[in-house]
Amino acid sequence: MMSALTLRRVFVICALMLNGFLIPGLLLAADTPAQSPIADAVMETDRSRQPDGKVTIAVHVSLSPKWLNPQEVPAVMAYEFLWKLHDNMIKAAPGNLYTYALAESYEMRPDFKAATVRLREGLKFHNGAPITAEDVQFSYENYHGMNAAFIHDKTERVEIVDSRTVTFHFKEPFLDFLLYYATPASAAGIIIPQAYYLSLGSTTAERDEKFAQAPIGAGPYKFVRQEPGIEVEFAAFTDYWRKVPHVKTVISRGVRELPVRVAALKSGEADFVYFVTGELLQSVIDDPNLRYHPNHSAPFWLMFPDMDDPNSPFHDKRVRQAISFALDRQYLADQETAGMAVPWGNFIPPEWPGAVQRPGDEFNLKEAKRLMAEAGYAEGFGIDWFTPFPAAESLSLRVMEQLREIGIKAEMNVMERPVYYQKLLEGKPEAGYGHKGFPGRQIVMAISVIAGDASHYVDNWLRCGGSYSFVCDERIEALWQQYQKSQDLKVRPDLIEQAQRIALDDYLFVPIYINSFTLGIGPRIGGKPENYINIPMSVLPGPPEDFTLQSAR
Amino acid sequence: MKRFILQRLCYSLITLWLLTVIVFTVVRFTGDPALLMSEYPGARPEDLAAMRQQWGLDQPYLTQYWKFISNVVQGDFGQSFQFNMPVRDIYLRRLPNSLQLALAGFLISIGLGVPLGIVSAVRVNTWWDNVGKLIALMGLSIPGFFVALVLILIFGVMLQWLPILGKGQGFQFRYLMMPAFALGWYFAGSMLRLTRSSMLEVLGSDYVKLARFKGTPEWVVVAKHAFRNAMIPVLTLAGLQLVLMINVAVVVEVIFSWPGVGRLLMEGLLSRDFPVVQGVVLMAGFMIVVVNLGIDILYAYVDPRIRLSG
Amino acid sequence: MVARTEVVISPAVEHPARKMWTLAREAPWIPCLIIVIVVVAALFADVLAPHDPEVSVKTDTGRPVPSYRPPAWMKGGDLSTPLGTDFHSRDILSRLIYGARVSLIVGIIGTLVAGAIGTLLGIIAGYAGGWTDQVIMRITDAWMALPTLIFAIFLASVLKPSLWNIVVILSLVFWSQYARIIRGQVLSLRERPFVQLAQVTGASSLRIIRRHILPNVINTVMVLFSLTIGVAIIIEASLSFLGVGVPPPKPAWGLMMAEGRGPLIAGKWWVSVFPGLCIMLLVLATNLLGDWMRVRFDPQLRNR
Repeated sequence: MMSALTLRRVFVICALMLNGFLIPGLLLAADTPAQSPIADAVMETDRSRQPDGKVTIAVHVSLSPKWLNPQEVPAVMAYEFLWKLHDNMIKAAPGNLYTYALAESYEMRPDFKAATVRLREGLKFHNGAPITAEDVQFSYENYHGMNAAFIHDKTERVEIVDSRTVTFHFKEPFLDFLLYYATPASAAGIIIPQAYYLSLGSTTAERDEKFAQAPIGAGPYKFVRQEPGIEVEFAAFTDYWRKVPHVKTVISRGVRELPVRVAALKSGEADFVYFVTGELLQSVIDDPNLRYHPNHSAPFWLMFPDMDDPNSPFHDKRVRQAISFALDRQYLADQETAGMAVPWGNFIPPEWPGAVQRPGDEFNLKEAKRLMAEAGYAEGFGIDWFTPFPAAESLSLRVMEQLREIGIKAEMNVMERPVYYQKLLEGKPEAGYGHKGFPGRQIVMAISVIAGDASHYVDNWLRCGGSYSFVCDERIEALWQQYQKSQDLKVRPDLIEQAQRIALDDYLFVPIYINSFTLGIGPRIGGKPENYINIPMSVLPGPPEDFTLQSAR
Repeated sequence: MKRFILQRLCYSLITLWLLTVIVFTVVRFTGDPALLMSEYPGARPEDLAAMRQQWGLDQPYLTQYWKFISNVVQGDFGQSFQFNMPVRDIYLRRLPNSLQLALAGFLISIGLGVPLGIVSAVRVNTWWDNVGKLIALMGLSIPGFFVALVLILIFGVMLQWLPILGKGQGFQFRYLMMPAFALGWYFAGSMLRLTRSSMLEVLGSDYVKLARFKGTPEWVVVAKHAFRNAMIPVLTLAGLQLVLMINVAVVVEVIFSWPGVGRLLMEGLLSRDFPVVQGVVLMAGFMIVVVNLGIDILYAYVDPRIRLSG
Repeated sequence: MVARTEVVISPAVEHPARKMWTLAREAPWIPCLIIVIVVVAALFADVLAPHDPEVSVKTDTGRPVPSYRPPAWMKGGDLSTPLGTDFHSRDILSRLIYGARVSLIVGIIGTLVAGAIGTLLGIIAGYAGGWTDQVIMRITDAWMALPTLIFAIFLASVLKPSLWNIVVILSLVFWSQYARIIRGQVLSLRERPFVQLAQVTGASSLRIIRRHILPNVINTVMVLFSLTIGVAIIIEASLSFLGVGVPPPKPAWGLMMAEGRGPLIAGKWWVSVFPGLCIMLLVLATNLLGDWMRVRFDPQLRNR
């Protein structure tokens, strides 16, 4: 057991580092700045297969009908549906961040002010209507979900060149266009049928509402029916361009409670189960009929909303550093995730392009105590609250206890996830110190999955005025300004790396470990678990057309 | 009789109206409904503005209440943030599921409680009676969710006889069994007691005494005379139990992921989808008032004494 | 003069000392014992509990003991944690002992407040009659139309959950049951000769209520009280189970059961079962006590 565990850890760390180096490496190794490498799709020409069988997925959150409509994507979790029902022009696929999907070619002008995409021939929507350039243009222009304002601000116009070709013209060089068009950063690259969408009503709100009740897309699975909030049923779309899906019916069910999810996995009612954690994880590991995959997502970290206040103990870097040394990350990982989580020293996931790879600080209680004493807090201090990331209360309790060892005492302030995000967004007050959403002396635990690359994390979390950020450091600001202006593909990542190093060396954040969004897999699923968790930047298993069941039933 | 019905109807209407006042007041007294409604993180400004307009949130209380009551009377409980559809629609979609569960639970509670209650009454103050009373007490003392968890452990995980997740398509008995039992268990206890006391009362009545005196065999006395009369109060109260079950099933629905209105309430609560929460609570109250009215009228039909005493 | 007339005409009121004696002699011992044990545990938790309920139990070396350690009599168990540990290596026995506090506080105070409000309103409604009665009864009906758990969840959604807010919620949810029954009693009491006599002799309403009505109603109140405590405790447990009750890390039995859901499915039954048993025993005890009181004190309630 011990050696297997260590072996697994070593494997995971190696895999992570490989991925972490590989992708930015690929990007940097491009011949001309215009060409980010886009892989060709792996298609199957055999169209004689008859889809068969059923796969049930137990999702860890309540399902929202809004996820069926790419035009108003509210959250990254929406891709649970979006990747079944819809398709992008270019998207992530197993092993590659960018793969041609509905598009067969993509060209970005060397000055980054225009990008041209071309559809494959003969593509159809679920209702039989052909996919045309008008649909591509409409999907982009009508998009009003995440990052919509950002994209529209940069875009001058969308030009239809011919029935299959569209050119996007930008007001100024848009180096990151592909990042926004082809990753979950936005869903503007997900194509919906314009004619059908417009026919649903006279206002956008009306169309959105009706579309979410009867969506039509171009993805490998068609919409069959839904029970809002409970489950959605999909059926295989046999005319899908890439291949005929293996499984006929896919059902996504919202099962918030972990024990019920795991029980469903054991009883065979669910084939894929998301986010198996804690004590139940061990029972899944021990069960010879079940399989699992660690499926690392993003790191948890601690932050200190009032650290800019000179009177706060968190203002002193030594205190923050002491906290980092007081955490026995490996113990936390062992207790919470059966050792699958990876102790880490950055708040940005390692696979993200440009993310600094840094292991977590070694557990060193003596050093932690020494630092606390040096900062003048040998006896520790009490704080008002410890706010956990919702659903990570058990991890929080353990962290709180480890902090008790160096004298920091707190009470846990449990809140619902929507409330947590609401408070996070409140940010800094105009004048004075601290944080409006998290007032008083607090430690807040966070985890963040932002589609894109490391620069998006810097933008949202480190930059003064970033959506979640309460950090205002002039060095980071200077770096960010430079980054905005620069078009040099070699200098830009370096600036982002420097910004991260400042944040980490100064312990603005104290990362804990990379969370293991463990996927539980039942005996009916064919193939190996690794095959399903191969899509970069995604924790959802897929692609759905590749789901297979063990030998015909 | 007519006068009685009219009077009861009046009372019910007043009660319904007061219900809306209570819900309205509780919300506005304990917090800002605008704040409550905007705590849904995906709430767009235009959605919130529409809400404000519809419920009159920045206007004086009386105007607000007027808007509130006129919306509610028309069956408009607002738009759910989470599901992006009218609360009424999502409620009506989930209600049949809750009804199905409640009915099944009800049948179980009758199936368990009534026979045991009869036995208890017939063998009053004997060992049987004590067992019966103990079972009744257990039913009332063990929380439904505990029973549910144990059932899941035994039948779902260990034996793997029954599914534990959801409802299945249409009507499927296997999915219904465990949640219905967990739900019915609690009410079986009160059914037992009610049956027992009702039977005791009837068994001590003159009518039964006469039958015995006439030499009718005991089992005929019990089965024909006592049982039928004893069932009247039990069945009339049963209607109330049914409605109560629909609403109390929250915990059972959550544990089994049963797609009913109880689970809808929790989903709404946890996602801060306030129109949903308000809608479910109002509907729960409405149902009970209506069923109470029905029971009162039914009782009056059956028992003239009540009619006359008003 | 008046006092003596009272004794003659209203036999329902026993002399207090005699009441105490009969009570003590015939009391059902087992439920009382259970309740006393729980109360003692709650009061003397600091002394009785072997460990701190909110932190993990440590070995001599300072590292936490294994989480999900089984009870002492099973393999892997240890006497230092007699009933086992939970996911955070906390001692279950200690948490049970401290958890008694929450259940008792919420159960007792919640029902007390509910009882006080309900009794007051019931007396006013029954005694005053007329419009006051109608108004109060309609409000009570409306309030009763809201099912307890749903109403409690509703209140929890608008109030921020905390121990005292749960008490408030419970009292708001239960008062109507008291009001209704007390009112019924007061109505019939009002017609009794000794009350009418008192009215005729010019005694003030307040005095009548205090000296005649209240003592006769107290029995019913006590019975109701003991019956609704059980429900209150279960509702609190349900709220905690659903995640809208007493906030962690404060130990509460319902919360412990919720935390034990996961491990239960993994075969580690002790985290859920022990608090479940505690809830069950306490509620059983109060219900048995209530039953006994009802049979003993108030024949009118016998068939409720």
